[in-house]
Amino acid sequence: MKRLVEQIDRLLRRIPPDSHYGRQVRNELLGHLEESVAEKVTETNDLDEALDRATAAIGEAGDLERVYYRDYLASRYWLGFFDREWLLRREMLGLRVGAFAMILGLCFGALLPGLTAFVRFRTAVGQVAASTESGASQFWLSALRDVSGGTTLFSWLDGGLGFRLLVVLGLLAFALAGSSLYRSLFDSERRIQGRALWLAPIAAAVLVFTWRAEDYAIALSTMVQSSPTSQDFDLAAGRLAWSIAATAVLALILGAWAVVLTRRARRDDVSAEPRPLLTALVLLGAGGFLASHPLLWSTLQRARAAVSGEPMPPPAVLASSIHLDFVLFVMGGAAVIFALYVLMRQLLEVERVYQSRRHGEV
Amino acid sequence: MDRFDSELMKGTGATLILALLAENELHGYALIQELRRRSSDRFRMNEGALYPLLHRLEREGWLASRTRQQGARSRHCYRLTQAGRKALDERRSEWRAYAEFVEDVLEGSEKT
Repeated sequence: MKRLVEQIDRLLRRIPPDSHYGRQVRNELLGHLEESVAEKVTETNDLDEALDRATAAIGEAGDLERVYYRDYLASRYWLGFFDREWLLRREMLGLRVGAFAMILGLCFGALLPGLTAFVRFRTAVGQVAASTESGASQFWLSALRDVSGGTTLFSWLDGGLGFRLLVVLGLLAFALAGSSLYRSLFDSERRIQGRALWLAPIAAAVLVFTWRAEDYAIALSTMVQSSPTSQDFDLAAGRLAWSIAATAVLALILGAWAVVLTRRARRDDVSAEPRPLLTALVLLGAGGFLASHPLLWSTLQRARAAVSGEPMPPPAVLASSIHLDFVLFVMGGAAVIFALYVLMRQLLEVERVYQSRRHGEV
Repeated sequence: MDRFDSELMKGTGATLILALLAENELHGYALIQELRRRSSDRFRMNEGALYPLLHRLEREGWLASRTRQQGARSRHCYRLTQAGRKALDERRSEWRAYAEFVEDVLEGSEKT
């Protein structure tokens, strides 16, 4: 029996035996080999020869493993994205914790503070948009001062203890994510350099997006303070511009990364990886750019112009710009979270394929 | 007796499997044995091709499978679904029309 199982493992070395599909095929092939060996033993009177012949017969097509592996991937992924067995792999607990913590970190450290600051600012713009009289800049500043009095639902977060608490929670979650991922991916038997290639873009993305949320909050806080000056706007706009530029650079790096990893995956015949990997990296880049608020930057410039006494666009235009910016922000944030999830799953899959192949080679 | 030409058998594997499973619930090895028995050992399905084919038919919803305990052994058995029965009917009609056409051509060539 042990030799039968070993033979099956050799035939199906790329299909994890602890997966649902892996258990199913192994059971099936084990049953087949039992029958086949029993028959061939009666022909040859030699157990070893019967076993060899039975194994050769089932493996003589040569592509058995390839076909099974393709079926395994098809059974495991839905549209190349969702890993149906994600919850079944107990041995990858660290990775799951890491992924979960990273998403928490994004929510606490980046998305929620940004969203909170946005809601506060949106209220102010809404008040301005309600007035259709001339002298819009006066209404604009008046409304900003009213809101800065702290009457909005989320005012407790605006630069205060709540905001800092969220950022700290987010950073703690990132630290936990990094620790879990490191333990899961780089134990003493594995090569760090090769695997670090996979962790680097995720870490870079997390850093940039955390930085981004802070800039966003600063920019909006500037716009809602009681007496913003031109210098305040310049400072906020400058940070926001740098942030957008950094995100654009990150998107370019991720694009190049996608090309490198795709070539590597093809070279190593990890045939399942390129599609979801490319999807994840493109989503990460595009989502990051959307979430980096290029529209907010232009709105900030308009507000600065109002403070400086220059002609200002109607409040309704400002309000619609901010509204569109919010939509982009939500879309980008969702894309980033989804991309990170796909990347996590890809990390796990590539790691498993390499490991199983290495064991197969031994 | 010689085995059938493999070129001749191409494309018939799925239909034969569907037909056998329309009669009984069987596991993979039993399917191979049954095909050999009915063809007097002239039709031998490649074992390495059988299981991927079974899985493909199951994925298409034409077969359903379950693990059954047979004595001390557990066996993964397949049976035909309603969709599989419909697919078999279609393939049966198509095969009969094709066989009739081949027969006509062969008979024509004998007369000349």
